[in-house]
Amino acid sequence: MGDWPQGQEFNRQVICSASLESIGPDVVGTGQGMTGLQAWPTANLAIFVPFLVFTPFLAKIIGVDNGATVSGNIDVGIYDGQQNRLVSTGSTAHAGTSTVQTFDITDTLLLPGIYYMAQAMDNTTGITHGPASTVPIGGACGVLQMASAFPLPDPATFAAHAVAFIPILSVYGRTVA
Amino acid sequence: MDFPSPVSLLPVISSFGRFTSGLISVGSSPTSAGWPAADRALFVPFSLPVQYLVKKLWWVNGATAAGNVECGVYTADGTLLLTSGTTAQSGTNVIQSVTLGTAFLLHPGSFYMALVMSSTSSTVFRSGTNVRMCRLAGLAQQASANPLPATFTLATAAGAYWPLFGIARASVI
Repeated sequence: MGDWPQGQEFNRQVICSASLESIGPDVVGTGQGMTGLQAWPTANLAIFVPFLVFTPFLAKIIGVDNGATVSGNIDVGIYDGQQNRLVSTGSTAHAGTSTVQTFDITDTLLLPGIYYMAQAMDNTTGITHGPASTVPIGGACGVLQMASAFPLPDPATFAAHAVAFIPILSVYGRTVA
Repeated sequence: MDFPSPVSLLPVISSFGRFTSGLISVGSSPTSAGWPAADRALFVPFSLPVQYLVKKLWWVNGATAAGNVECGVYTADGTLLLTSGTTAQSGTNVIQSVTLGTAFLLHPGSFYMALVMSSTSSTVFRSGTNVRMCRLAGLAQQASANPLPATFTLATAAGAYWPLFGIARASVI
C-alpha cells in the first residue's frame, strides 16, 4: 500500500444537516424523521446545527428548502466551534415557494474541525424544511439556538435547543444547488 | 497482527449508503420508475476514506428494460475516471452490472457516481423523495450527457429521482 492517507474521512461536496457529517444519524435514530415543513418557531431565533469537516472544504453557497409560504427575511451562515461567525448572508428576503432558496456566500475555507450551520428568520410565518422534533431531542442531537439573533450575530451565544424544529439545510462546496 | 489494521469498506457501495447522502432519502423506499429524461445524467456525491478497488459498476433495473445505460465515477471537480461504457439495459427487477476490464483503484477522496439512460422507457429503482430533498442531498444533473462526457457540467436537479446504483469491489453482486 502506498503513502496515500488511509482511514481519513472526506466530505462529500454537499454537507446537509441531515447527512452523516452532521446530525443525520441522530435525527433518524431518534425517530425525528427527515421530512416536515414548518413555520419558523420564534421570530428572530437562530438555530445552529453542528457538522464536521474532515478535510479542507471551500464553502460556496448555502441552500434552504422553502415551503409553501415565504415571509419576511432570513439569514444563514456558518459558525466555528467557538461561536464565531465565519460567514453569513445577512438579512435576505425569504423568497421562492416550494423550492430550494440558495444563498451565495463569500467563499469560505473550512479547515478540519467542528462547525455550525445557522439559520435565523425574523418572523413566524415563513416555512422552511425541518422535522417537528420532540423537545429536547434536538438538543440531544447537538442542536443549539440563540434568541434575538437576527441578523446572525458575531459572536453567537449558544443556548440549549428548546423548540420543536431542526432545520434541514445544506452547505455546498460547489455553485449548483 | 499489526494493530490498528486498515479500515476496510463493504463490498458494495450504493447511492443510498454510508458514503453518499442517500440517508436523506430515508422514508422513501426505492421503486421502479422511468428515467426522467432521455440522455440526462444524474450525479450523486460520495466520498471514500480508504482506497477502494472498483471491479464493477451496477444499477438496479426496474420493471421495464429499454435503451442503453452508462454508469461512471467522476472526480469532485468533474473528470470522468471510470465508466461501464454504453450498455444495453437488460433484465427487469434485477441488479445489472458491468465488470471493468481492469479494476480501478479509487484513492481516498470526494467523488460523484453518475448514471445516464438513453430512454425514458428505461426504468430503474429510485427514491421519489421530493426534488428539494434531492438537491439538499447533493443530486445534480447534466442534459445531453449520453455517453457520459469526459468532464461534467453540473446543473440543478430538475426531478425527484434518486437512483439506486453504485460501485462494487465484489466480484459478485
